[in-house]
Amino acid sequence: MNKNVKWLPAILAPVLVIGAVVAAPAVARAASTPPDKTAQQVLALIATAKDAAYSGTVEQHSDLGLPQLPTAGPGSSAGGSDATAQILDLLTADHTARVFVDGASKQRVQVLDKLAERDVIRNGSEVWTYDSKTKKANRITLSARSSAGSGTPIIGPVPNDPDTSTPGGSATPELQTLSPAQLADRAIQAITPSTYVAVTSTASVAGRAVYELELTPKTGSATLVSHVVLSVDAATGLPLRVVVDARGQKADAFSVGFSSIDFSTPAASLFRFTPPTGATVTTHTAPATSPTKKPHAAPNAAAHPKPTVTGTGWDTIVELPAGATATKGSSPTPSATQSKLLDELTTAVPGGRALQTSLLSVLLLDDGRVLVGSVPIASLESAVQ
Amino acid sequence: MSRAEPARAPGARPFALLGSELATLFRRRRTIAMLGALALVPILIAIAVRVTSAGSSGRGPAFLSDITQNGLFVGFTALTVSIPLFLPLTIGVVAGDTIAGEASLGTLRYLLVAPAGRLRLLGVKYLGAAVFAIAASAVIVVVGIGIGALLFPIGPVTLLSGDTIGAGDFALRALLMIGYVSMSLLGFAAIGTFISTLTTVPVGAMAATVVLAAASQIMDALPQLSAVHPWLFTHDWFAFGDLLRNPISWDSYAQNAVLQLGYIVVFGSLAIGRFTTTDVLS
Amino acid sequence: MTTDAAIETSGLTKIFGRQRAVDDLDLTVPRGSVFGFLGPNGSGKTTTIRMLLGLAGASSGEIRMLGAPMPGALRSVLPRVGALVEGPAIYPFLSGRANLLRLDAADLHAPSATRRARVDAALDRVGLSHAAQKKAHAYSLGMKQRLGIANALLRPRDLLILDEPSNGLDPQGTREVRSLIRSLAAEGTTVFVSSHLLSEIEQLCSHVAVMSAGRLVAHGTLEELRRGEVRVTVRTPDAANAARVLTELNLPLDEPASGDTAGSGDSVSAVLVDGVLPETVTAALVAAGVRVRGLSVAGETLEERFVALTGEGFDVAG
Repeated sequence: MNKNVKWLPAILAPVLVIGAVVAAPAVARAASTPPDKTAQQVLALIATAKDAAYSGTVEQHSDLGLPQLPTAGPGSSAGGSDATAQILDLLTADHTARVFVDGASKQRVQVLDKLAERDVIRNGSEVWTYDSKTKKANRITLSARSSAGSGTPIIGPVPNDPDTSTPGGSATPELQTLSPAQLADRAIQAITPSTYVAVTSTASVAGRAVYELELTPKTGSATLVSHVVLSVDAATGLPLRVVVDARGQKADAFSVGFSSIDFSTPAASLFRFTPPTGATVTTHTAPATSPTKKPHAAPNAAAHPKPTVTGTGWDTIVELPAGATATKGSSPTPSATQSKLLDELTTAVPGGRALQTSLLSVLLLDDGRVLVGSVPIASLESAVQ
Repeated sequence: MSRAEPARAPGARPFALLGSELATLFRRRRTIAMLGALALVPILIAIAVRVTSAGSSGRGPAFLSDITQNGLFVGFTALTVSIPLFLPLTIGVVAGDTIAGEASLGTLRYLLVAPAGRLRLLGVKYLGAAVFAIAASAVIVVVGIGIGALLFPIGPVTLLSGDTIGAGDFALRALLMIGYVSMSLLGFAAIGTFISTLTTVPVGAMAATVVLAAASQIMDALPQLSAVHPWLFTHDWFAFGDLLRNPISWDSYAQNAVLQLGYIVVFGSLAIGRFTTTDVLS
Repeated sequence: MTTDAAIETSGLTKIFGRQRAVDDLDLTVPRGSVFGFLGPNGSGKTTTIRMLLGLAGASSGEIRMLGAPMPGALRSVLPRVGALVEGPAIYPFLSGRANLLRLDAADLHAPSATRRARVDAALDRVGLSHAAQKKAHAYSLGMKQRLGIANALLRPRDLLILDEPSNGLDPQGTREVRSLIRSLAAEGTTVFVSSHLLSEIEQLCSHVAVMSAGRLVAHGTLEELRRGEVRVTVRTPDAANAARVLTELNLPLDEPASGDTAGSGDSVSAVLVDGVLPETVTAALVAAGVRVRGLSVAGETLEERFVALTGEGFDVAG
């Protein structure tokens, strides 16, 4: 009996397993290439997708050049009671969420944490948020205007970043009357002065063929953003992924996109939420402004003083006046002096402290003002004068 | 001259060895003690919560704060507490003992001379460890639900998503959870069985197996190693929470099944390669 | 009875690292024989048995057992072979009976319907029925040995391989095992007994093989081995003359003790080869004028023979 022959399966099996692991993505990538489209056509395609019904899993990765902290025991990775830890988690950790969408007025997002979950459920004018860790539920009734089917998903895979000019962002009532093509034209006009736009159609996201809309700032080194890639489903026009690359960093600084998607209508029961017994329920009536993803932010938003915006395009700097960030105890951003952790992350600069990430710079002035921009720290400092 | 029939005799049951293995495993005092220790986890949790009536939200293991309102959560809390250490410890003991234990007793040579067949013996031994994994997770969940129902009020269960389910759905999800947790341990059991073929010292195999589970969990907690995280056999151990979402998130179930299968194939093959070629000299 | 041997090995070799534990072993165990496999501890007996049973792979050489090649036909051959290898092994936490039930269940071909009956019969046969329900960790060494033998007897066997079967048994137990082996042999079972105890082999076996340091140094029937050992010893003051006479009769002289030259002492001894009768020697000595004080003809004990073969003493007392 030859011993070597008996060892053969033991050697072959790992080779086959590793081979399958390597080969599987290669097979999945073999999606057919859709016909070429211009940037305008792609943007028009996006605008048609507002009534789509789908469900899928969204993954968010961040690599902002911040230190990564080990996740300790079960359930401690996200949603800690400390607000700073929560923000840090948001900035440094990866997140997975499930999204269920049935048209413009029914959405549900579940942020999947380890043995925990944060939910936002919208059913018409009624919005619920629920956090399984704190057992807190918020009920927000949208005003008639904002709930009338503005086509603005309260939440979604596309972040509300004005720089990227995605139609999923802050749509104004005026824009609602425009056709998708007009909307696309406007968007292109708005971004072309500051941005090179290119379209490719060879990639795939979540197993679907997509158009990749690549936005490259014309401003060069004035901004930290190297380029932004928006992947749009070729068949439905649904944005499937956004990737933001930072200057001088190989890994994507920020990406959020579908890892799987299914274009069948989710069960209607998913959008009917009844708070569980034992949960603390708070009721709010939302102002006309579009609610944001953060459940805490919505009720407080009106109380904040108005920020000052300087510059346009990629090197815009936002200045938040004193008091805007250190309002109530429930504020997600505690003042810098209160948090030791924040002290460790920031560096001292004349007149305050600065936080430099690969995509965003924050200047915390001693007088309480905060400057934020996707620009080098030096630009923020010069903006103070 | 008496001549026994070499062909399979009528009435021979091919699964007799598996039955014998399970009977031997579960009649063993050590096995019973380990299952007893696992049953103690939910009991201690329930009593501690009952006595102190502590339910401070956000502190302690997941689901702990739910217990006072619904005793059915004791089983889930106990699972959360047991998965990092107690479950791998007990399964490491059983899996590390599979071949090395027989070798150290010397009974391995008699099983092989019987003849049990090396492949069949290895398969039966691994199945024994797998059945123990199921029993271990079932004990935690079932005892937890039982003690919870005894000491606390019970009622409809709130899922992580905030939705509420009834008794039938809860029973189904508890069963699925037992299935998920035991499945999560199958790859680990395969590693333990392979290590067990390498030595005749069962304690060494058990220790090495348990240390691997700890090492894998430590690696899983280091963000610097995030590239290897999806390949760690412990990576999806806590994803049993996905069964408490609405709707159930099957992604982790499927992903974990594939991952565990990969570990079973790789370490199973290594164990077969090792065990079918090695000289049994103990 | 079929003509082929129960066990046949050719060139069987096992190498551990640089040590040749078994070296070029050519062994033939005839069917129906009680075969004694003799050798001091560490001479390669157990390693040979492990290779016969497929527990260890041979480095080179071939094995045929009950007419089939091993370990190729292991699955069809081993159910017909009962074995006790290097002492009994037990699950201490199981009863004696449960130990046997488990080992019997391991045999894919053992009918489960008769399992309990066969286990009880085997226990009865080795005299363990009274302790069948006792946990095996409470067994004495002798009881464990009996349990091991009972395991070998769970099914009707064509061949029994018993490694040191009377190890740990008291004299009474040893006698019982001996009579058990005789009765099994009488039923037609080939019994292969390994032992370092010469007396055991001498009382039981029809055939003997002797191992020493991994090599086979003697192999044949007990009679064959005994026959070559008759020697004649002449006590005489004319030792040199006597030696000359014996040499003329073509009898091989024994090596003289150290310091002596042939015939310088007062006795001379030689092996009495076939065809030379003691009376012929006497007559020749007398004819040559050798003054004979005494002449003895004795079959050398097997012990002396084996000490000569292996260069080591045997534990005769047992």
